[in-house]
Amino acid sequence: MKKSLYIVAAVFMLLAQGCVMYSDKDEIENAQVDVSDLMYFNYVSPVISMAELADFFDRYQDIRTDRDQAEALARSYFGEYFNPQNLFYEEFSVHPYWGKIAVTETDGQYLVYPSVVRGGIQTVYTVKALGGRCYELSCDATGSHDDSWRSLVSESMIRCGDDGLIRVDAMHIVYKENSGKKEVTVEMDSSDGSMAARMCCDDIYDRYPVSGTLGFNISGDVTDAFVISFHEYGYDIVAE
Amino acid sequence: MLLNRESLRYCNYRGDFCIYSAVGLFQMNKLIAAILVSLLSFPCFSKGKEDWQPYDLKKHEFALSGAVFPGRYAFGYDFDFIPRLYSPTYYASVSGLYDNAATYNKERSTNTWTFSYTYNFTRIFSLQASLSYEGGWDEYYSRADDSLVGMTECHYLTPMLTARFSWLNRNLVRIYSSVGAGIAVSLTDEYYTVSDDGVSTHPETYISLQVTPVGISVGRKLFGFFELGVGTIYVGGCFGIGYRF
Repeated sequence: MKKSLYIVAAVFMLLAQGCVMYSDKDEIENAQVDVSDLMYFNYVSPVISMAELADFFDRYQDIRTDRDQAEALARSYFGEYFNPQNLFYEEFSVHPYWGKIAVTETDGQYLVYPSVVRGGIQTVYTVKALGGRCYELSCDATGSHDDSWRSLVSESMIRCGDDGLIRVDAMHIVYKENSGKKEVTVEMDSSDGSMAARMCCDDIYDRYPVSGTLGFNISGDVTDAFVISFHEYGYDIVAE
Repeated sequence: MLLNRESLRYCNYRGDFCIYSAVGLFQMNKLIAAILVSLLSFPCFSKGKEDWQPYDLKKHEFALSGAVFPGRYAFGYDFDFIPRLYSPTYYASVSGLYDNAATYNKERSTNTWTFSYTYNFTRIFSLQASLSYEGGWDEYYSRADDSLVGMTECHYLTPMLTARFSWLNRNLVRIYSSVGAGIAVSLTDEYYTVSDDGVSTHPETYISLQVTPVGISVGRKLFGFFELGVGTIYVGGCFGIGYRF
């Protein structure tokens, strides 16, 4: 009897210790990877996609009366993502990666509503076609009611080439946030003209650039600086 | 007959002695018979069925048990319903990502503890009223010096009514199955209602279900039991002690 009671007491004591159900103590955390991921997919990649969307839409304006030719051109850009029902003279949308583009009263100037992938700031970009398949994209999302705790100013110059590459001649993005306890500013810059990404072709959507660098400078309550170096098979992060 | 001719032949192929002979077989039979007689002479084997004491139905049972894996955690409360350590924008903010990288977290649980009263209507059917407790903590530690940075917690009390069916009843051992339903009341999660009197807070409640396909209790007045089950009380095993009267 005593032996049984000892066993019972031992099991109860073991249960009373509780359990550690989960711990990420041994996981390797890298804030630079997380931040570059957050910034890249919300504010860098959409700019490249929007340039591609604008490149098509700008060329489409010249052939829009020929529906067959227009749809063939759209398919060459967006492949299976293209839905003919979304192609209008004044407006065109491709989801989920590109967004919606619409004409303005100014020739060669468009408004683009990018598809937001991961809960980034929802804003409108202005795209100006500069000729030679070169586009200037900009937005100023400061003081937005939806995102009072963060703001975005983005300016880029992007060229679409006949070789199937989108080249970022210049990109400067300033993201600010005030999460309640900390104020942080992230500046992203790629001005050496080396950053290039593949256009969507043959239904292959690859939004990582294949070359070039993107510098991150973080200031405010958090300070950090690093550079993302893109290459054919991914990217590396180099601390400055 | 445990040994046949072939096996005997194999055992004795060296010819040490001739057990293969009729005399040898007779001697083996005698040996086995002797073993059987001596076994039957022990009281535990020799008791007839009529000597068992009649099943003694005790109407009341109190029990205390502990169980792993805690059910509400298993079904994922994950500390999502309570105010976070940081602001609501934490996971979408750059500062939050840096804070997150500078800390690690541990989720701890108390396991599930249950106090129950059971009324045995018949030897087969009984109803049980129980109160279970489960608690958990999500603790944040600094990666730099392992100091505790912050903590969130969840605690639940679950009153439950359970129907139990005993499908094997012996004086010492009972095997049963049960199914129960109740309501888990959170001591930490709250919801708000707005009325003319202003904003008032109320504890969150959740439906709680528990199925025990098999449980076994061993003992007479004082008994121990072990159950296997799945539900919002526990998912896995439950171990406890109780008293019948």
